[in-house]
Amino acid sequence: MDRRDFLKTIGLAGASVIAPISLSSEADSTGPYEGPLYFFFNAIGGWDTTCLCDPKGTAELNRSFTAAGIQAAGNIAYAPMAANERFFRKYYSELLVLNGMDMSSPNHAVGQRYMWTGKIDSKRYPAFGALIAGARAPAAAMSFLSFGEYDATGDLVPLSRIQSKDQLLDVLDPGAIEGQADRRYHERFAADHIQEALRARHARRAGLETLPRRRAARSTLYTGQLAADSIRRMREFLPAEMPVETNPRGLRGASTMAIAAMRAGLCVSANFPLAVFDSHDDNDAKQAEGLDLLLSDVDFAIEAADAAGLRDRLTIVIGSDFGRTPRYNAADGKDHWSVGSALVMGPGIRGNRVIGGTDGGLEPLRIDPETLAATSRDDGVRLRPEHLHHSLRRHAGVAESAGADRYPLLEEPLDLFA
Amino acid sequence: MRGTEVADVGPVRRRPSIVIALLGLLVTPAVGGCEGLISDPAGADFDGSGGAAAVGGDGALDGACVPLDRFYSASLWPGVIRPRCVSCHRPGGPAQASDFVLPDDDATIANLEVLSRLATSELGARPRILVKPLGGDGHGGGPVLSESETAYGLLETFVALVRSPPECEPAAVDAPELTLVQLGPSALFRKAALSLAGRLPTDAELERLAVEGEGALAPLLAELMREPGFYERLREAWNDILLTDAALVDRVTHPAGYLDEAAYPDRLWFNALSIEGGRREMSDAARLGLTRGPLELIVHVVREGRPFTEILTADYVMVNPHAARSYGVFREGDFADPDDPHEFRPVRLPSVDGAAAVFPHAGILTSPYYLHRYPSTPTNRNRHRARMVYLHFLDTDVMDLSPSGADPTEVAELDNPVRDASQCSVCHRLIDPLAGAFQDFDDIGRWAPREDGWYDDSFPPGFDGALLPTEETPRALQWLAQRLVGDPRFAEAVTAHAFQILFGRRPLPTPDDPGADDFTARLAAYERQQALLSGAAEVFVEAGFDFKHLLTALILSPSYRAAGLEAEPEDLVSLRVAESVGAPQLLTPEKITRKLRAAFGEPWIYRYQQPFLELDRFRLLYGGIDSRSTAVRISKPNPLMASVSQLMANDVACRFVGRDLERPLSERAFLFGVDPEDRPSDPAAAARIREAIAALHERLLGEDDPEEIAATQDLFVRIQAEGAASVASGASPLALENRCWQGVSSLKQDPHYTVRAWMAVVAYLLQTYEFLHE
Repeated sequence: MDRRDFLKTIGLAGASVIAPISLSSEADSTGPYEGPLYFFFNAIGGWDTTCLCDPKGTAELNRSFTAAGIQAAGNIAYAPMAANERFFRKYYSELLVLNGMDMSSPNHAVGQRYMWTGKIDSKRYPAFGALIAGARAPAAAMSFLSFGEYDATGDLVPLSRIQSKDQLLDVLDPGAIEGQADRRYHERFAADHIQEALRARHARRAGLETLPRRRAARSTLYTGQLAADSIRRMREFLPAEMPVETNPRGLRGASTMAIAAMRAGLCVSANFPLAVFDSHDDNDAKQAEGLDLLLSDVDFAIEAADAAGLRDRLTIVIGSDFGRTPRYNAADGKDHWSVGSALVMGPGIRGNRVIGGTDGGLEPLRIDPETLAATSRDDGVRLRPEHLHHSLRRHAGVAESAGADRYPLLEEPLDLFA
Repeated sequence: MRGTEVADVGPVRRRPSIVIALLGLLVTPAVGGCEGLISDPAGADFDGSGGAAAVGGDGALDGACVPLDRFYSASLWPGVIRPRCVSCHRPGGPAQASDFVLPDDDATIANLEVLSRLATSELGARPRILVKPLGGDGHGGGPVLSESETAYGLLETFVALVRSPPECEPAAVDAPELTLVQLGPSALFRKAALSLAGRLPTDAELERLAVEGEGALAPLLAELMREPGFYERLREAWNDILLTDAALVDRVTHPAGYLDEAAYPDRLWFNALSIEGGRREMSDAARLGLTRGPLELIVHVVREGRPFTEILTADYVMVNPHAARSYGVFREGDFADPDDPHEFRPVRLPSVDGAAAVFPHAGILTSPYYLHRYPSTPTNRNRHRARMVYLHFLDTDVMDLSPSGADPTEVAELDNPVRDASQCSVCHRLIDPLAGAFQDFDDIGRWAPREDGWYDDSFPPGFDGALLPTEETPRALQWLAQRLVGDPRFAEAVTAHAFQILFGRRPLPTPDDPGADDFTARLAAYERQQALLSGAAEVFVEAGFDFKHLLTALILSPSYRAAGLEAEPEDLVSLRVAESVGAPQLLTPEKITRKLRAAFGEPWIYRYQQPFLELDRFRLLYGGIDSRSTAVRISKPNPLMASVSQLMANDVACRFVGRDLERPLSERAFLFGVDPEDRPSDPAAAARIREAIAALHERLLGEDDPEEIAATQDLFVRIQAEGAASVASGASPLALENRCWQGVSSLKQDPHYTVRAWMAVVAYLLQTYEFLHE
């Protein structure tokens, strides 16, 4: 009896918390994935929103510029710092800015978890990248690709990590000796016999497993082995020369590999961490350096996606743990402040808009749940990560998915993207 | 071994051979018993809505029947009361003068009585216990919960259960018997040997197990835990928890650079060497020595059989010869081999504050690299360190104490919100005193006693309600360490870490969603696992904090030994419980490296490296960690990892098979008894091939299954026959691929395709679940 039959027999289908991923999902196909794609840029440490998309220009909040220096691209105001001008002028028409997001915690770990899952008080919840990957293409070879930091999967999809192109090359064709396609470890007939023997063994042994953990582990391994062949498709999309990073922490190589995986139909979502924003001292210089790197590498990724023909499928979310205090500390730094911002762009998301905001003390303003305009009315709501995630789920068409059911969100949805 | 056995299955009926019975899936309640069930729903005036599970007319939670006492001990206490209430509402705590004081520090019946009284008393029209945590009625701690939190939902459910007791029968009463198939002594020892020492059982060990059975396990495990491989595993496992190996992958900074130059003028001694004189090698050796201080302390304590509490109380630091030079404490003759970077010994660091002061060693707490790994800032004031101490040594994530949904901006006008705003102070009341104990260590971990004392605008230094005595200030961390190891949570934390080391996963979290369909079932699984952990922690303490004793207790537990079920689970409770047992786990990159070495007698080298150990090769790709930005292992294989294992299987077979076949029979490492010329067409040779395959199954997979051995033999036969014909026809080459005959002198050619057939067999076996999993 296979697992599906087993669960059916005892009326517990879908009930297992450790079901093998391929069997707990809606899709088992390993064909090229052609649906919507997602990039998540994680500005780790807590960016200073006043140095980016929520500038104030008062001496207490910003020493690098005055109110008069605040710039705007379309309807989006931005701080005259770092690479902001180039970025906002280039993308404002596509950008949705969420300001005054109540992150409810000044702690890095909690802030990151809240930002990327939409749930503050559970460690089980998946990052949205995992949720969408699990719903769209759980069996794709690198469905959720992580380059580090917050990448919880909620057991919805296997997590894949890549560090460099070099380490990938040999693995893309594991039957080739030292990556040389014309030198094979086994001749074709022998390789086929080995694969057939593995398949037959799995069929024999899987039926004998009775312990749920062993059964799930065996099936997950076999599912991975079945999909392993598909990663060869990535080879043709990896550039001969990888881009030169402008900073050792740069994300250009990472986004290049993610785009190659997406072009090969192997990947739904990728997350890119940049841990340079925790500016407890020398805030303005550190934020400027970090934002410069972040925005220029986001720009690089968008350009590369455009060149690869993926732009019209790609949604990008840029966010951080939280913001920074509305004052400088004695070390010219700023500490943690549980109000943040997020930038979102992609097909179907109306740009050139700012939703939410903060007052002069960087406290979040309430918004009208219908018009999304700032309001002082009591029935106004604070913008929270739950609202962003409700919108992401609806926009991606996965709000009713098994993963979304398993990991429900609080707060009433707001129609942020339309 | 006396005292090491932990029953984690409630009442257990042990069968003589390999089956253990799981009777009574739900552990006997901590308090009460069935008498604790409240059976009269009348008079309920609280509907339990608002985030809690709805309590139906029959008192069931969304259809699931949960007895009050079990909900209290398994969910309310660990999910709300212990993390959110106990720190203040205990004798001697900040709220001791209030009318809510919990007399005990555990989920006792006395505490349940106090909580039940609160649940039935009212403030206005609301239960008192639901008003105060929101900051109502002048709650001294301000809001510690928000209504949207799961934890608040648990509180609401508790009130509902007290006021509207369930009429239903708890599922546990009718829970069917669930019977585990258990690993026998030999299989269990093989699993432990590979897991803990990275080796296969020896023939002598297997013989002893066959003769003595269960009785041989404990002494053999004790011997196993004296081997170098065990200590290698110990370092690796504890790094997964402490993440102190981060400095080993950092090529930009050097841990010696963070030492106080005035105190340790020789800290960068290796820079005086020329390149030819070994500057780089010495620098790396010093890096290892300084970085590994905390992990080597753990190894030292375990190796010497000291109480594990010494990891926090040791009055020394572990150094290798090169780190000793950086600290300025190197003395000729102290080390057996002063050039060996892997030789560590304890030393006391010199004073940096005048001749009278002695470095206030407190084990890991004062280990320079632990302090540097978890740095501070002028505004953080050691709170990050305090958080990590709670996490590492008290099994407490203080961030879980934070009221989610709280609004820190509401306190913007306060000069000192961490002390004066109740929503901040609820956590800082715990964190800041412990942080204050680190006061004599600066932001990057240097000992730098403060001339002006600690900040007076926060909670004063101390721990768990006790203030740091003024006279103890110069030895604050020593004072703290004594209290940490005396706290029951220390043993619990170490037990949870030991569980992770053996089972490859963290213990189950407290069920946090009473509204979930499977809440009762999760609760049952959680309780059952808690029984195992509590029992193991007790064994650990009773054995004088002997870490090996703790590991042994867990290894011998039915959960670790579980290999199957005698009957399929027939309900959700049984399923959740069944899911919580067993320790199958994907081999980590480090474990697969050791298993290959053990199975083939030599390390696998690929592109001049042991590729699973190298970050830029397969270590991260195969789910490993760098202890920095990638700090959590991947435990479920993805297709990329499957591809890595396929490459490994192919290359290992290619590299090792020819070489082994060339060796005299008496020197074979894994292909026993066969001649390279042996072909299945010869009956005698066919028998030898079968025996060799059976031995391979045993060696690589720990398996003795005639059907599987026959299937593998069939693979050999097919490939050899097809290959030989192909060679004869000229379609296949006569010679092996270059890479496969490197190091082989006589078997470069393979006219009968036997060598390649053996390569195929080995490659096949290395890709099986049994090889790739522990």
